[in-house]
Amino acid sequence: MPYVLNAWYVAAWSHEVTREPVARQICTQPVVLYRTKDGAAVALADRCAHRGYPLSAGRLVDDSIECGYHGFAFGCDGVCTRVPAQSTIPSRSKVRAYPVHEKDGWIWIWTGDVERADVSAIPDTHWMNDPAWAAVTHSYRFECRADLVHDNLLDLTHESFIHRTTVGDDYIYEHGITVEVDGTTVTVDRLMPGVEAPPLYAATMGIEGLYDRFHATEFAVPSHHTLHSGITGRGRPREEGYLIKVLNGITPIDERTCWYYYAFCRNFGVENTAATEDLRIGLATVLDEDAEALRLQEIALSSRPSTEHDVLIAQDAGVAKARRVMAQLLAAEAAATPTTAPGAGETRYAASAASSSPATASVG
Amino acid sequence: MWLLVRDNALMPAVDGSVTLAACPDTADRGEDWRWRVWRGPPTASDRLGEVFVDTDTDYVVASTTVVGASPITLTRQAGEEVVVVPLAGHHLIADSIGPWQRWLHPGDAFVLEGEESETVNLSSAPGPARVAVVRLSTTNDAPLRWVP
Repeated sequence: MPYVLNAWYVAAWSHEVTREPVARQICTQPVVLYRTKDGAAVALADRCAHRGYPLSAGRLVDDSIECGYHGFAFGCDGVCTRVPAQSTIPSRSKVRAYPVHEKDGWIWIWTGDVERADVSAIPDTHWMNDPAWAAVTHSYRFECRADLVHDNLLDLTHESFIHRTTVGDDYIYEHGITVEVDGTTVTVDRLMPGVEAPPLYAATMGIEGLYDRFHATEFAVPSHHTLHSGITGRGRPREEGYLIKVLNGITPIDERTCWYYYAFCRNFGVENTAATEDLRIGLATVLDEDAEALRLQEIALSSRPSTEHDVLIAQDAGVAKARRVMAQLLAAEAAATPTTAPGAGETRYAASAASSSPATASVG
Repeated sequence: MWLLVRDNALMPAVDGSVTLAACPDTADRGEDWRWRVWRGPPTASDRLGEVFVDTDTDYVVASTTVVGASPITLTRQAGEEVVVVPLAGHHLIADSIGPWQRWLHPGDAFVLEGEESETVNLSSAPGPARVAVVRLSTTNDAPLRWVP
């Protein structure tokens, strides 16, 4: 299964990356994460250039990571800094260094062409780090392909069934959606006027009665969804209401599993620590429900003949459009004809690959 | 369901034509084909190309009107599909009973569909303004639902 590589993916929470190497697999690529002595996050290919041993099983020596097998050491740029028992370092002795960017508690990694890594493309996540908002966070390893999580977030009618006792309600299905496709962003918006707040939130909001409820999933294909959700007075602007921003970083591990980095940020009851704890437990239930549903769906899909296809309906417009955008991004990358530089395992694209000019000395 | 696809998300075919909206939206899953609204390749006189409507005439009836700058109330009948295609100028489309509104620009496409009737308001920015409104319904009075 191919992945869109020219993209930023969440690699880890900031607190997970320390002076102890930590291993991750991202889009099937093994990565080791650690921090320099100055605290900068580093991501390198988790495979020693010498004999392929995982660097994450080694140790840090200053800002280099030393392989635990034979002691080759690599700096944060991936270049070998030490070979035991000899002073000459082979020129091919380097590992791939990934661009990383740390923001608001997440460490993002760029898995594609280094020259295309633009941090301005990283989605806005400031709510995780804003004192006017309170955040509840979770992270999961979902036993399903990342695409199923994307589908799940773009079609929230599943709340009426999978999350009936937490955030779901029958009325969700009864309200139409507005889908927007703008560049590579797909948004699915649903306004539910004159309804009760979902049970999980009502107590924290301290409200009863009828309100306008809304949720808009904004999917920055291929890796991040911001769910703009909330409750507001009937007929009142959304920004006046109890607002929720749910940040969902979906990072493929391989064709059957993915990381799910989750932050639920609210602008109400911010100082209410009991409410935060209740939400932490309640939202874990919601994510457990999703995880189990998608695990079962992955199993069911694994035996589906290739001639069978989803029967999509109008409610699935966002799902279908996002799949289309994903397919277009994949096709564009495939058309760029990636080539692999020997030794470094670094993906370069033909259009940007530097040409070599071997010097030839005449003899005789 | 409303669907707004911006110009920057519509991919031209090899011949330069662009499918603005279609039902089904893809042939990949083997659904019965019903209709397509599309632009021809750009010409010297029309940067975006002329707009065409293709239908399965056994199942779908289509009609197209082109409206100008005056504000209009656009009612979609129950079970009908409507495709709004800006041809010139900038147009504000707004829910008649809710806060939702967006500006539409030439190159964009907006689809409305559903089994209950609904109304939106369409008004244009000052200057030249033309919008094609394509109405699609079934020949047998069954609701015509959009298929992704």
